[in-house]
Amino acid sequence: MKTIQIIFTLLAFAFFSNAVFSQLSSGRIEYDRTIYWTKIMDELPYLSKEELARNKLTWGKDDKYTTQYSLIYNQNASQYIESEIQKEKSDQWSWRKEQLNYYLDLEKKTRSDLVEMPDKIYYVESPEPSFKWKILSEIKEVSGYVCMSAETIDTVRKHKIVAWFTPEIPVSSGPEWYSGLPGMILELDIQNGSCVITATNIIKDPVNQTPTVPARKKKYKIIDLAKLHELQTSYINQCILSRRNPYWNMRY
Amino acid sequence: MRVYNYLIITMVLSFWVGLGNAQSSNWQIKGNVTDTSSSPLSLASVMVLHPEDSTLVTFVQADQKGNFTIKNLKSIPYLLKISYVGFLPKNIAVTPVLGEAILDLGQIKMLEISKELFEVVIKTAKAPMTIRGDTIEYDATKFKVPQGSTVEDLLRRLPGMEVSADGTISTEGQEIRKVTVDGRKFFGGDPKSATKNLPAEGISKVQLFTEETEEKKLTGASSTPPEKMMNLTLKDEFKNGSFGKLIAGGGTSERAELKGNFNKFNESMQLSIIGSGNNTGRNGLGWDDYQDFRGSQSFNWNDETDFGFGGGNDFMSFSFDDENSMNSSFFGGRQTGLPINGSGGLNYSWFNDKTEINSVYFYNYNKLFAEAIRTQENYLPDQYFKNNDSTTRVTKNMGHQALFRGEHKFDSMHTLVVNLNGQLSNRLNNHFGNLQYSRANGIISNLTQFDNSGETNSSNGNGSAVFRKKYKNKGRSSGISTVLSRFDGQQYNEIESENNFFIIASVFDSLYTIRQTNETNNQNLLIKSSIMHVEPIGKKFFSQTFYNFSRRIEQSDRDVFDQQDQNEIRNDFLSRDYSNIIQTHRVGTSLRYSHQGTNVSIGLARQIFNLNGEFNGGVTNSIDRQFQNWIPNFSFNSSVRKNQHLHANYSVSAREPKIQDLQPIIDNSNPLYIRIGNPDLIPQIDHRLNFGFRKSNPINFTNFSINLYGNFSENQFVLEQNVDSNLVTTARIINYKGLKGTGSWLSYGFPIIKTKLTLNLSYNLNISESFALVNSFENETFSITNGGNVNLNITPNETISAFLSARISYSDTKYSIESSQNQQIMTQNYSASINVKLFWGILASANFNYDRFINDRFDFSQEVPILNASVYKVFGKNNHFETRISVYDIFNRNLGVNLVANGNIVSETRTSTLRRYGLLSFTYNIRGISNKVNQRNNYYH
Repeated sequence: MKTIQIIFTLLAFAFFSNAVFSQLSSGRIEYDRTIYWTKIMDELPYLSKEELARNKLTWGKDDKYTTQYSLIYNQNASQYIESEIQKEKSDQWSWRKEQLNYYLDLEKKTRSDLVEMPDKIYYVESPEPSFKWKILSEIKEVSGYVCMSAETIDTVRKHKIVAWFTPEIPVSSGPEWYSGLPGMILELDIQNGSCVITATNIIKDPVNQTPTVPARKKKYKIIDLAKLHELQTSYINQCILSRRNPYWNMRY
Repeated sequence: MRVYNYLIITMVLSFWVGLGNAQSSNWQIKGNVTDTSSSPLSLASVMVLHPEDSTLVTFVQADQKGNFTIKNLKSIPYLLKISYVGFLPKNIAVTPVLGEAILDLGQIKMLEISKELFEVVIKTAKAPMTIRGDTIEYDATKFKVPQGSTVEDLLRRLPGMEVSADGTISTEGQEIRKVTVDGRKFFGGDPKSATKNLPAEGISKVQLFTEETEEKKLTGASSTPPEKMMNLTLKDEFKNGSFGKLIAGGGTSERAELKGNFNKFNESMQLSIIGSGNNTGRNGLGWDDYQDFRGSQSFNWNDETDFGFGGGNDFMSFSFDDENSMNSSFFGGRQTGLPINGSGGLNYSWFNDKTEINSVYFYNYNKLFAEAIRTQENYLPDQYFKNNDSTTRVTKNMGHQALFRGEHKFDSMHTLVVNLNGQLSNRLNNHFGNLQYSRANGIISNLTQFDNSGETNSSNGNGSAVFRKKYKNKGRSSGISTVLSRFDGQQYNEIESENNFFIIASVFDSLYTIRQTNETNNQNLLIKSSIMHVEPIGKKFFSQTFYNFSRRIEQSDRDVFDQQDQNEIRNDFLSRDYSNIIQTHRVGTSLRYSHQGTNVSIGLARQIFNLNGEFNGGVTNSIDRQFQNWIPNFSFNSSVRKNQHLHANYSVSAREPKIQDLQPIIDNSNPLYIRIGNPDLIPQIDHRLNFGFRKSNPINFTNFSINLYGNFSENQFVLEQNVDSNLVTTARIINYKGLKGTGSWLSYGFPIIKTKLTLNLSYNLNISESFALVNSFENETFSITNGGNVNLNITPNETISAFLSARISYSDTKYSIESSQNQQIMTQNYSASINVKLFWGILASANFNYDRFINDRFDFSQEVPILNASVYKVFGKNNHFETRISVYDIFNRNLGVNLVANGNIVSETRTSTLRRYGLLSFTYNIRGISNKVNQRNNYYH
């Protein structure tokens, strides 16, 4: 019993000292983004309860798919991209990669994102969106950091977003397009666990890795965030009317 | 009036200005964050929230000494939330005081979280903690307990919780006297009965409350401390679900249907029961029922045992095999005739993180009564004859099937899949009737009466195992598989026929009577094994090497007895036995390029067949042959751009001759159509080429695809027929020049009005050249088929939908023997399905199908319009019930007609079939029934 107490004390010490002395203002965070397809189907209004139960029964046991993303950040900016190494990638079959490059300039408070829509790739330039974050009273640990929770609404997809952020990394950014909290977001829970993005590894001060603005190419159509949201809303509405799942072709 | 308007505007304006003044953004809040011993907590976070909904306004970080200042705040009340790792976040409500620009909160002391609790909850269980004031709650499900544990076992693991030997629960030294489940009392509220009986797996949250005593509530003061109580929240419905339905219907013409299923499932098991019976041939089992019955085992990965050029590692297997009596109950086609079907089964699956076990039992029964009248015209190079047959067939099938599947993941690198399948089946068959042959001038040449009956019993068992291994070196993998399968069949037949042959002018020539019984015993044994290895070459290339081995042993013993004056005499000419061994080796390798959405593979294999046969029957014969073939393979797949896909494939396959075609057996069960075997057959080689491109635009809801194919065969198995002057046909399979075919398929779909009106168009072209041999003449058939499809989906609103379709196909066939036989056939199909919501919640749907068939050469045309319609209403609490009135084949035009025109044969078969009937049915569905109009013409979600 005594040994356990000693271990606890040591652990606690290591943990607290870490919190006090290190300020992680630059680095790279690796995220696992897991999507649960049968949970997503729950939000399709045209499916009957019986069809939903059938989906759960057939696919529910094995419906998750995980992709890896990296967030490269410093005090001035952050960049969110798909990771080089994909754990679940088929060994022998290469699928097309989604074009994704989300850049947040923390000084100018602007975003420059490469966003893939079902028809084409857009270059979205906009001021940093102001999320209406509601601070919750839960805390938990993510990848060694104690996080507080905050909640907001994705107004386009009508999803409840719960973010777990750590004041220990005093950079107001996070995965996907979320930011604006007093610390780095290490976990996102979208729509009660339909999609969970969680930090798996936090690398401090990596050499030669600084966030870079995605290159503008002629083939990308430049729009602002309002226009993107308009396109997305209209696409979701039409898909639902046509009894199709919008998220087969659009990022959840 | 105008004055009032001005007044109001002025008032509103002044109000806004006043508000603006009151909220001028220059209020400051400052303070100093420390722990209880006044040591500064440097870099603590301070958040400013709106007090109503806790939304974040702004945030700052304290300096090294724990000091912070928040500037430029509006003069309104806020909630400050101060947080520091390892401490309870502190909430402070602040209100501006008129005239004071700076609010100094002074020293703010933070309370430390008990280190043990913090470590156990946060670090070990990774459970979120909820902080309400000075108390902490946490999610119980994050604390792992072994399967079958009770809530009591779970509570023992929770920090700060004590469970004594007699089950008394206490926390912070205080006994918990009240336990509720989902807020309700459990068995009179005795905490022990709940915690000792409820399974831990069913619990999602353990909540601890402090309940104010009645005394405190009334007086505001209490002599006793507040009571602790516990609430257990049960897991949500879907994780622990059940669903099912029962449909019963009865109607005119003595028709009835009954179908039901029930499913229960949770995170570690699935149980389902299904049953169906009908004499309508309709409303049997389908896709949905298959998924409901098999659940997570509907589709399985990694079951493939034959490794080859394909992806090898990750693909899904699903078999529509007719031999599988269970799958044919779900997916078997509709039979013409009058059917009686019944089936039922039980499926149970159990799984944990590493192991999955599935077992199934399925029983099926079907009986079919079919009276058929067939007219067939035969055009031979030197003669013409016509068949007029009138036959009745009664078949009864019964089958039992048991399946077992087990999958075990030893770790992330090693997987084993075992499949076992056992089947027993019994088939009774009775076929009797009259056959009439006549020549060109209508003169009858032959009259036959026959009555054949038989029984077949078979048992079939097979087992397979696949072991796959991945290596640390990404992309390297191996697999090994083995299959063992055994089939035993006993067949007993009684054949009776009387054949009257006539010479010209209907003069009776001869009578040939057959009265035989025969008994056949078949035994097949199959052993297969495959190995495969994939080796990465750099990051983009892989090499894949495989070896397949297969050994099939087929044994058959057939005894034929002639019935002569009550005596059975063995017919040595027709009795026979044989045993064959077919052994195949295939070894091959391929190189694959796989990068950025492009996959290219090129490979070559060598295939060796060894055929060994022993034949006894009248003559003794043995065969010992070996064939060797090269099998090349190429495939290209690319989807470089989103929603665009391009593929091209070339594949070759070798087919060994069938055993019954290889041995010189004379099958005279139909004395006018005798089949003989051909021991000289060699494998048929099929070459296939395929090219396709598809593109879709999900924003515009358009899609386009094109497919081109070509195929040709070498040494094709072709039927050779010889017809003698008595019009007795002798047929055998020979190797002959191959079939050639090419064609294309094009489709385009687009919305005319988005989400309301969608049009899909498709066109297909097929050109083929094939050969048949009749009386030593080569008959080359060359045919071109053009076909088109138009589909219109109309979904204007929630109350009506219609799906219309038109399909037209025109084929032009030319024969080399005689151009007068050339023919053009046009088939047309029009269908419409309409769903509509009527009044009082009543829904209606109608399906109309119209088939039209025109053959110019025979001046033949036929039209079959079928209309089915039903009205139904969903009712009851949560829409659990449905009642439905349906009428099938309203026009009473169902003919059960099958028309065939190919080669030198044109035939029409009419089978007695079920015509117009009405049906009243009731449905009960546990999950409720949708009372929306069906707006989908497809099944993917």
